[in-house]
Amino acid sequence: MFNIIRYEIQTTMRQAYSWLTPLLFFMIVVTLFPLAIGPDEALLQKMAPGVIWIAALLATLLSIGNLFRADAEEGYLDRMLLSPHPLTLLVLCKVMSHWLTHCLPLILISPLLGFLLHLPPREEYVLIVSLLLGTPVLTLLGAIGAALIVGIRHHGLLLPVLIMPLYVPVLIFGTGALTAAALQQPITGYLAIMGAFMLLCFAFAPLLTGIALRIGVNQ
Amino acid sequence: MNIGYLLNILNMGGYGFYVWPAWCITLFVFGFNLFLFAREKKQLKKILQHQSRQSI
Amino acid sequence: MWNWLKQNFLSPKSFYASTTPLLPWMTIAFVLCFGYGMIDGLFIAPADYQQGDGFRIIYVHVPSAFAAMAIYLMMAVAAFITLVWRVKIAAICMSVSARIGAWFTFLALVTGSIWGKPMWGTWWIWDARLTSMLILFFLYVGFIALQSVISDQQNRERASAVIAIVGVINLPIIHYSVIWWNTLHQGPTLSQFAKPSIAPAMLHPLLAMIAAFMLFYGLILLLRMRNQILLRDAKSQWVQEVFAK
Repeated sequence: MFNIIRYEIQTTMRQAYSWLTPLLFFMIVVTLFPLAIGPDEALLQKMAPGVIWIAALLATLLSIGNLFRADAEEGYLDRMLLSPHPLTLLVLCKVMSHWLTHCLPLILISPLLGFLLHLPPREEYVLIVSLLLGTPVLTLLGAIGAALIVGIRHHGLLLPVLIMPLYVPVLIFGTGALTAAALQQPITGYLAIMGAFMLLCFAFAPLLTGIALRIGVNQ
Repeated sequence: MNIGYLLNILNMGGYGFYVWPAWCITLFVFGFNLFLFAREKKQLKKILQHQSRQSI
Repeated sequence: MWNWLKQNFLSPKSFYASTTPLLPWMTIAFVLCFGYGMIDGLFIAPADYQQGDGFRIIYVHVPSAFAAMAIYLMMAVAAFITLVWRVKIAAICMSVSARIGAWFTFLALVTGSIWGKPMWGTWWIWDARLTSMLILFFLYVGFIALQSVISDQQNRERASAVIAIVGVINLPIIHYSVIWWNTLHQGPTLSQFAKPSIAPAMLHPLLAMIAAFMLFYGLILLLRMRNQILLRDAKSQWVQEVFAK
């Protein structure tokens, strides 16, 4: 299993394009908000959790559409479905390597972006934790969508349209934790719920992704 | 059944501007769904007619 | 009972035959419920103490919101049956229900907005119910969008079944998250939007309207499902016979 993850990561890192562009996208989107709203420090500070979270959400969503594309084109998908290893496990490996290469850079650079939006240091810490707990959920749910559209050639923005309503709970509680931190309120409840979301998704999302893959491959 | 009574109904205690459009939109949605069904049925009839003509 | 259901409703042909006698009764029931609900709700029920005659929008808003959520549940059940047992009727039911459900969600949003203006002074408000309804609308539209992109029928049905099930699992989570989010940002004005307890004289037309909306859903569902059945089996003998009649 670690071999698969290592292979996936190596393949992804070889193409700097695939993991660098989501990171740049993330940074640029966050930069667009002050340009659109104005440099008022208080306002930016208030909006920072939402802005960073939405930018991370979009960056994850737009990059996960291609999770199975290369496999499908090169015929690896059939091999995945026929392999002796459980499909759920293979999907989990792919998702984890995707998260490591695409979401982890976002999380690492988010404090810098928080600083740009005048986020106080104490909340930076909460930002990292909330993204750490939230991005796996984004990736896991996105994988279901990626599996559903794997055979569709010109799907455009269908994947975001399908998956974004499902992102609402994570978004609410992720930014809720930051808002609570700003008001000096306890955040453990929010983080606990996000942990619960993560566990739930770990349990069910790879299974559903596998089902969707089997359906998609039959096209 | 004079005009005053009708105007009273239309006014709906001052909220007529909101109540009647809400109900009318509802009736429109119902009617439009029926229209969609009817249009689908017409298209179906055309297809089936074409089919039966072919089989003859 | 399962055998009776299987015999009379499982195959498209038997479904079509079995539902033919139901249609006139459903139409009558719908007309009665809607007629009673409309007349009692618009003219006879007493005006609300706080909201005056403006509350009469409730008789179209609440039923449409109720139907929007109920239809999604039915759609999800049909999706589950489609995925697990590959029943054609269930797939047709799922697809048709989605389109009807989307209309009702749209209606709930519009009537909710119209109700909001005289009641709370604003055309739109990000309260829990309306926001949930908006997300439900996106779930419906996403389902329909996915269906429109996949050309192969079997894959379309199975893939959209998956997204419907994923949606229904998330629906309660989304709903309660939005309620939580609302209490978070609402603060002291929450009581303003709380649903007041309803008097019986106002309740009866409401129940009638809810029944009427669900009957309308059932009616349109059956009508359009029958169309789809005829369309899919167009080349078969029994369809030709039905058409010839």
